[in-house]
Amino acid sequence: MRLNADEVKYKMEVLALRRYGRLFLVCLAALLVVLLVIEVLAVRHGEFAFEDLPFFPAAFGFGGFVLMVALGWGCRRYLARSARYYSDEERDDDA
Amino acid sequence: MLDFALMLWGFFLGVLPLGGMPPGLAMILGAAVLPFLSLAMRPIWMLLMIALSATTLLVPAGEHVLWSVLGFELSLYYADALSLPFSLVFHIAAALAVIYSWHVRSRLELAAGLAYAGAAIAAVHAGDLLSLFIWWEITAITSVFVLLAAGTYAARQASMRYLVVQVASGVLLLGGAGLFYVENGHIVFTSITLDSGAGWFILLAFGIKAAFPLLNGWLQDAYPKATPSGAVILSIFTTKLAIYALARGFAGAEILIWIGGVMAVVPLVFILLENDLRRVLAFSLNNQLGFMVVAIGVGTPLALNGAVALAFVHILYKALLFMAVGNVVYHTGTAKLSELGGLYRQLPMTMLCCVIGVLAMMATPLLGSFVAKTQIMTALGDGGGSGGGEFVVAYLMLLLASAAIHGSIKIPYFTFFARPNQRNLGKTPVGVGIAMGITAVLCVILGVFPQIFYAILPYAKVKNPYDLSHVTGHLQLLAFALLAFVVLLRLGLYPPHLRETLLNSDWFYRRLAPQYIKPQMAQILALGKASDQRLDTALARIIAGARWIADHPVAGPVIPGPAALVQVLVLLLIIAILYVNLL
Amino acid sequence: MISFASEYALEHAPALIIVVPLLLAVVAALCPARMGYMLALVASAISALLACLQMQVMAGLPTDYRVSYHLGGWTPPWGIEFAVDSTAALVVLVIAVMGFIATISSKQLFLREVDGSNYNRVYGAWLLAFAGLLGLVMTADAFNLFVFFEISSLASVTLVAMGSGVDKRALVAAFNYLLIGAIGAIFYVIGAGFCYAMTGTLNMLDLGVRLPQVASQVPVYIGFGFMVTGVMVKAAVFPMHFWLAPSYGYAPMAVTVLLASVATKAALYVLIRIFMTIFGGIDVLPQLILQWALIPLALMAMLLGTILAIYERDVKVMLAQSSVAQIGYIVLGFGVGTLAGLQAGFIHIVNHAMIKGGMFIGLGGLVLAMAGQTRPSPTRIDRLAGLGWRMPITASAFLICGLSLIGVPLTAGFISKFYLVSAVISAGYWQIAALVLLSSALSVIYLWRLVEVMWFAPPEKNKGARLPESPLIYLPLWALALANLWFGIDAGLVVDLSYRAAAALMGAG
Repeated sequence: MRLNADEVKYKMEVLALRRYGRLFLVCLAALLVVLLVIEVLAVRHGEFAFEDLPFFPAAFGFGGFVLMVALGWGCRRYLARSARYYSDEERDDDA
Repeated sequence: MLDFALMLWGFFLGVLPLGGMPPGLAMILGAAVLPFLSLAMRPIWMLLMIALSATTLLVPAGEHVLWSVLGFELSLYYADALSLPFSLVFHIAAALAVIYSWHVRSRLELAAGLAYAGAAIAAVHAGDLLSLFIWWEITAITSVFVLLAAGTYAARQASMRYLVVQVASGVLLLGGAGLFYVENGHIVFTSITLDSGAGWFILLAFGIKAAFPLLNGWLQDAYPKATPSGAVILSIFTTKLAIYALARGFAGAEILIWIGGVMAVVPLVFILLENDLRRVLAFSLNNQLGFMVVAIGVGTPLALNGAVALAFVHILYKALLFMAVGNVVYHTGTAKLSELGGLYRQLPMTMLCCVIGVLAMMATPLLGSFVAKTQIMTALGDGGGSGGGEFVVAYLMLLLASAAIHGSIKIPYFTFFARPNQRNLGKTPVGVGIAMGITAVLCVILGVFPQIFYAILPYAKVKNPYDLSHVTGHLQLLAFALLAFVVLLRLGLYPPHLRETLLNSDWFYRRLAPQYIKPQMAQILALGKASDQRLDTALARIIAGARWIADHPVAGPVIPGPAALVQVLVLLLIIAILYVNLL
Repeated sequence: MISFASEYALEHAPALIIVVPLLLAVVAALCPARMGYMLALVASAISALLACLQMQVMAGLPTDYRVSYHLGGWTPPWGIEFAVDSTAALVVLVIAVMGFIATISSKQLFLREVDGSNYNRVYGAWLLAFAGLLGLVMTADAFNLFVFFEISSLASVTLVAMGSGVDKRALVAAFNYLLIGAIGAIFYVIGAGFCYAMTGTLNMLDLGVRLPQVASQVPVYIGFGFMVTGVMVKAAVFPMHFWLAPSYGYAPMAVTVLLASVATKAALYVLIRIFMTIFGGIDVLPQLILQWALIPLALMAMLLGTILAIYERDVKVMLAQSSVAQIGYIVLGFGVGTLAGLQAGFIHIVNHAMIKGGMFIGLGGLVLAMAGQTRPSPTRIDRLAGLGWRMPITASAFLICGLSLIGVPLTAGFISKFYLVSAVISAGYWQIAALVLLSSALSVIYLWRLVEVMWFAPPEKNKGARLPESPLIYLPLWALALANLWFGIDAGLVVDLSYRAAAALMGAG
């Protein structure tokens, strides 16, 4: 399989991005582990009673995000229109 | 030309003593001189004017300039603990915006931007409703010119709509001020209660500029269409001026808690879905304003501290984000996430600043917004302790907002990573880089040294955010929300970025009124046809007459016959009134 | 010698103010065409000067002081009386000074529209209209009022018809104006006839005394209705305002300047004078009509005038429609009926004369530079494209007057709106105040369109070359624009004089 210079650059770029992505995921995973450990070991107080439940912010963070994304899918069904809907948006160049 | 400018400045310096000149006035006057200066002098002149105006920050609190006119005492320069932080951050942000715009050639944008900044600063120091109205309207008009400077067709159309909305806000303010005067006998700008018509008018006026739900269409319509530097300047002043006004006038008004809650939650959906980066920023602006409005609604000293602190640091990190995104637009010509990606190599500094800005938006510990949002959340908790259940719900709404805002991680991800990018980009202007750098550093400093922060807040009560329980709680929220983002992305469940329009509250006046009401009217008429034929023809004739008059505006009883008829009708009307009443 | 002349002038000022233009009108009509302008200038200058002197004297006297000038030495109520009190003095001042300013710029504005050989006749009619309007204000005799009514109407019709050199529609507009005005005048004289029949007198003050004695009889009310309706036609109060837009729109620009700034003001003064002086003695009658008829009509005028202005393509007609709305403001101020309301009405009479006068002179200057072409109509809005950059001196003064029109703070228009809204709110009608603010907001739309065309038109229209600007146009224009700014910042003089005018009117009635 012969590749020209551009395609090589592209594939190198993809690999670089993947590397950075993996780096990010590793850091995130480390952070998650540290936080879980602290949660088990230390006592945490919040503003209200329900916040003191173990792993509450974690669950709320994860669940809240998923909830908003689900709402997003729902809203997109009702609110989305074509890009030319207002007909002055895409008149000029892209920006 | 330079001599002329300097002579003029000397005149002002000599005539108006520094302590007596309302802040921001120097900037407005300086803006008038700006178009006559050479290209290189302009940013320097602007910084000089900002510095001149900033000397007023050293003046102690109190009433400084009173102007008697039309039987009113206008308090043109009133400084106190609430106006100080806003004035300070406006000056700093204006200076940063000037540095960012160093390369801009458009005289209109620079002059209008400077005048806009000056008017906003002056408005923060208005001690009565009439002076507030004057500066309010001046900010509206000058910001329209900033928007117009973009020169595109879309910008022109958007600026028309923006002008109407902002002027409407001003008219409501004037009407409310008039009513307020009639009810209370004075126009001093302090706490305003909502049990009178005046209060509602003024709240509505403030709400338009603060982008309350359903009143926020202009924000997402106008800001994306400005130039990169124009967007930076626009994002700084209008909304924060409204927050200041709400903090002064409506602190403790319970309805604000609910309004703010809705403001914090609803834009999140749009942040996740929107394709245009600048619209995402506009919606996130709306979202952050929601936090401030909730805090103002709570009204305790701690809550107000939180609102002011968040406003302070929000100006900085929102400007930072607009700067970064603006730079991306400047280089690539597009802000559409569906077409960006992989820019981290070409724009490393921009990427770094964007990441810092987004981390600030997520209230990461060690950044200023973490300190600010802690005050707000604690205040909600305190209030809830003594009050009723309502603060719990508000707290949950804000917590949800804090969780879902991590979707803004998509801003740096899809712009700078996600996909490889083969573009060849030019050099970033020097001013852009410097401005972004300074702003990012400021965001970090305020987080690492919160004492600086505490010194400028209006009230004494603060909560230290850096205790273990608080930091870990917040980091859990952050990390697991990011985890959710990654998981959804991997599973292909994250909504893709499409080239589409998502309807916002500006739909009502951009589409509903022009396009749907007319056919609806026709349909209603058609319903009438089934019941009474004669009534239907009469209605149709009236509407045709009205349409004909609108097409022939000089029409109407111009010819003598019908004119005489109308005259006789009026005569009979008058005689009838007299007859009925007097005989 | 000089002091004798000035004493004589002061003593006979009420008559001289009218007689000088009247006589010089005849002289101008008979003289060669070139002299017409100079004669008109002299006549209007003399009238303006006398009006200023008169105002100065009146300002030093108590508010209810009334100068009564007996024409021909015959004592009223048998003789005709010219009465000057604070109210009349103010309106006469406005008419005379604005007439003078309009005359200064008239020659340049007539340049392309009226054939040079007609100048003597045109200026003759000009001075006749001027004198007629002044007489309308100063006379205190009901029938003499009708005479001046007709003089000013006929002269105005002639002036409007002069626009036929450019646009034949001027003839139709003039003809319609003639007939509609004539019907209005007939209504008025019928009403005056009724009043005369019931009381035997035609002097306004005397009527004011005698009418209450016969107030319970029907003919008095019928007479009132006729008189008021007739004057409302001339004052262009909705719905009898439709003659205004075509007449002002197709008349020559100089004529529009004169008529728009002063003609309707005189009639509005007559209207309120009828309410307050002639019928003021009858208890509840004026308030009734003011509240139930005038206020609704004024609101309709405000809103409809503004809305029609928004849809209008021809700038002259657009400004004429906005005049309808401005007249609505004045009538609203009068309609509120309190001292504050009358004061607000008079303030706007003064300010609007400056504003509209300025805008039309400015428009004339802008249009004048668009050499020669008449098709399509030279005052269509797109003809003004880019003129903001090409004629900066004229256009910036035009803009200042325009900002004053919509009521931007620091201009005279804001003072008017402010006093009007205060008066309306303190009388309890806060919904009406909201409508006033609404129509103000709407008027921004058509002003913005003008601004947009003149400064922000797409680049190909800004061909860049500076167009010639005539000093005879921009000097009076800038005087008016600066006056707008001056009276916007320090409105003391206008407010005081209007207060005196309102007080005099309410005291007398």
